[in-house]
Amino acid sequence: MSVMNTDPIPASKPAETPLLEVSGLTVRFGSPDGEVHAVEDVSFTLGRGESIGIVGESGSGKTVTCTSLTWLLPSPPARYVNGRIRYDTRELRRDDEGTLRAVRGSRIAMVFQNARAALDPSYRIGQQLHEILAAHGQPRSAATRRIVVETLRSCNIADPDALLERYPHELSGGVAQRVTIAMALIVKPDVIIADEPTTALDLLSQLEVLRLLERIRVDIGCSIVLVSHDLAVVRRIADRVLIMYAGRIVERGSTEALFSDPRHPYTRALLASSQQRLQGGQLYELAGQPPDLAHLPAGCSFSPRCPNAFDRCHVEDPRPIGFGVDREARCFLLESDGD
Amino acid sequence: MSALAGHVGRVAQPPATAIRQALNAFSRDRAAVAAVVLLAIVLFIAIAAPIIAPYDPDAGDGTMLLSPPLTGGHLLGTDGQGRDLLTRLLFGTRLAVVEATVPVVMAAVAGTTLGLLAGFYEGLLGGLVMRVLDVFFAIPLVLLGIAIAAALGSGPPTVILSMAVVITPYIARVVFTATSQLKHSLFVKAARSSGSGELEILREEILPHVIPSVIVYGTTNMGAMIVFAAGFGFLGLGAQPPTSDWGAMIAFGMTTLASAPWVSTFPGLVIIAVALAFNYLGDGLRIALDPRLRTRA
Amino acid sequence: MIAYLARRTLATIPTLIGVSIVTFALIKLVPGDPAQAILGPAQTNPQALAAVRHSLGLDQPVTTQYWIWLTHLVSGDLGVSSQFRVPVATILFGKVGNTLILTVGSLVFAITLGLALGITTAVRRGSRYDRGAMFLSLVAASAPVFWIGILLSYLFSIQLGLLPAMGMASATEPSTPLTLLQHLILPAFTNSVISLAVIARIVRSTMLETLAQPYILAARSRGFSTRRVVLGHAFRNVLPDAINITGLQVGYLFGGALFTEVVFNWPGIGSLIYNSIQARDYVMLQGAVLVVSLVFILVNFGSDSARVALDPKAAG
Repeated sequence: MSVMNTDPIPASKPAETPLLEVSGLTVRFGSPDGEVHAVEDVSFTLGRGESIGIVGESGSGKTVTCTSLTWLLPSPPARYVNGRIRYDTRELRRDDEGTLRAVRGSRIAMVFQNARAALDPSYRIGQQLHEILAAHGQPRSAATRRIVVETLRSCNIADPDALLERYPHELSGGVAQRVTIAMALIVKPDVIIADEPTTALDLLSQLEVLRLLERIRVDIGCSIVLVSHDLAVVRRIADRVLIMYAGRIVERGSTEALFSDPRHPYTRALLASSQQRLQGGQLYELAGQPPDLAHLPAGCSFSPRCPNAFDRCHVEDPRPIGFGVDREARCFLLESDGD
Repeated sequence: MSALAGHVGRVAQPPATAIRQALNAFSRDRAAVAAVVLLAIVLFIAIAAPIIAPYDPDAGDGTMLLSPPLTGGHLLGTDGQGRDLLTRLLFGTRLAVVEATVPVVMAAVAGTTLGLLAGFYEGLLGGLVMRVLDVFFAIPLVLLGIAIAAALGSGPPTVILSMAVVITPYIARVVFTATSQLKHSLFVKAARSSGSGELEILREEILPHVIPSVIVYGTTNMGAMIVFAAGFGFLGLGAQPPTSDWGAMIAFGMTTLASAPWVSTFPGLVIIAVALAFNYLGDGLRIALDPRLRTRA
Repeated sequence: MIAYLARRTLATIPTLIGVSIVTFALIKLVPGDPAQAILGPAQTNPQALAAVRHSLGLDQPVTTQYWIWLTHLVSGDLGVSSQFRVPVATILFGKVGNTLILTVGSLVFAITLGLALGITTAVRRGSRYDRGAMFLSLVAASAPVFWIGILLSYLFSIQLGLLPAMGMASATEPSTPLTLLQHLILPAFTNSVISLAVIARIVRSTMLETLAQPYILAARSRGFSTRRVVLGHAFRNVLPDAINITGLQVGYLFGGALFTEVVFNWPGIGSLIYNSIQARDYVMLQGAVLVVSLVFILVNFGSDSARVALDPKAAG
């Protein structure tokens, strides 16, 4: 979905600094079975107005990754072993509560999978919306009420005034999700992180939410990080895609390139199974079990299930190998191809 | 409230394996093991007090009234009559052990019987029993015990009886709830259809499942019993002087609190230690006896 | 709600009757012949003894005695105290009032400190503060109330001279609300310790459950301060349980005040009971037990009803 820029390129235009830069994010959890390696050495960037998709099955580390972008996970039990995050040239430090609180919700906002669960059951919708404004310096007033109503309206809520008086349990899944999206964009953030925003919804609501997110990106120019296990969903919105498996990014690239020419066997498997689902064909079965994050295998973590695995894969863990235009994959197959 | 409620089928393991597993789980709980050690020491002291105590608990040394701890050969000091505090604490163990355990055992027997009958037969008999027990719940625990003891006259036997009467309703209620649930379980139905008589079912099927709950309840609350018994002693309803009674010792120390705070302090510390031990023991038992509460590895 | 109240009231009546029977039976338990006790051991004339027994109504069948006693009771006649020689009723109700003051004071301590402890330990779960506070509360709950009272009295009254140790009012100064408060602090706190520990434990556990909820994470993701998250969102959802457990404690606080009153010489009904035992004033004892039970039942009824009013699901 990248737009071809045909304007003449100015002589020395500096590369635009990315809005969000994540390097070396590593998160682990203690458990009775041993330490769970939820996220291992994840690095990526997000540009202004850009949207990326993070794709993986459950346990791939995608939720932990996106929740960690503002160091949100309670720690303990999470253990932040490593990682640096830069937002808009400033470093976001984990111990800097003041900056984090200023950034969260107003510059970097989140939308969660289960919308109703993300709303406090004891407060009305209106109260919860006003609360966000109040927490970021705009106490309740006639002006804020207008902002709240407008924001809801812009999220395709039919009767915002009535909705303000409702409690979360009175809302349908689709409406609740649109409310949480409204809560995310009410202070006009630069980044919206959406963790499986459509998974709990029916098909119609899914499409609505996706269209809404896309429109938001266009209207206010915010970046979007969309996390999902569903390739089709990601394809609609994302400019670039990151594929995660067992806590690592195993492949990345522009959406078009990735979908037309997947290189990592896991990406191919994901694509195959999603396409066959769409075409009603036989279910593509990926052999083996999802990895045990507390006891990862030696070598490439995907190797036990990989149809193309050879000896080296079971022994050595592949480093990311770049190829093509802004493409990268952790797979020894690329070396044999000699790109 | 444990092993019973969730069980649909009879515990299929032979008792030996179940006991071994329970012991394993228990031994991993360090606090519970420490508690057992402490309580074993307490029991030993209760039995061996006359042999190991340095002084005579009843004889006061008039020259050493209210001696502070660590003076004049008295590790914990002396009280207002010159009696060695350590010795009296050691001897007080005998009374405490008896007053803590006997009422619980009595209440366990009475309460289990009542609870089983009321829970199993329900209907009119069960309702009546529970109503009567409700009356006992309506009067504050301590008050009832004290009133009974006051009416009957002071001394360890009335203390024991009062405590037993007061605790029985609580155990009966625990057993009643368990029995009413178990009544509807599959293995009881199976036993019934295979021709077992009612009493047989009560004894063979339900009772074994109720016993762990009673044991856990009784053990955890034995700490409270120690405190309760001390309360009787404090109010003068327990063993009469000069017999060593922890609660009475605390009361006696009240009169000389300003000059000799240790007289009241040490007995209290001992009571706390024993009560805590029972608490940890009860916790350990609860986890050991209910497989569902045990965490892996 | 009305249905619940009606049901509860109906269920309370047999309990009240049962309590009266038990209290009546208590006096019957006392060994010895009351007539002999009144006339003295020297009196052996059987007719004199029989006359006294007749005047006490002891020659009637037990059920009649009970009925007579009950009718007197209902009309407010609780008998005459053998130590004070005045009707029991005249003394009792003033004392109940004093114990209620103590109970309210204990409740204030138990609620405020219990909540504070429960919330802060949950927010700082696993820290040394958390483990220390929980251990301390376990120790406090395992200690005899009277011992805690004695210890506190020694520390704050004798050693530090900060607070008075005895009674409800000063012997020297005129009684003002301030002096009452001063005298109330130590006994109220002592009486509250066990309830405090229970409330703290339950609040902590409910708080931990609530803090694990998705909407708490969502609230933090919106940049809310810890205070806003904890007090505005987590606490709000913990409140019903906190009220629940507090209601259950009120009755206990009232009924358990006996030891505290004895230690601090607080002139409430607990002290009265203690003194009656010492003086073998069984009529007073009986009346006191009855009144305390009545208040206990009423207080529990009240707090249960309040709980159900706030949270109709609790009516089960």
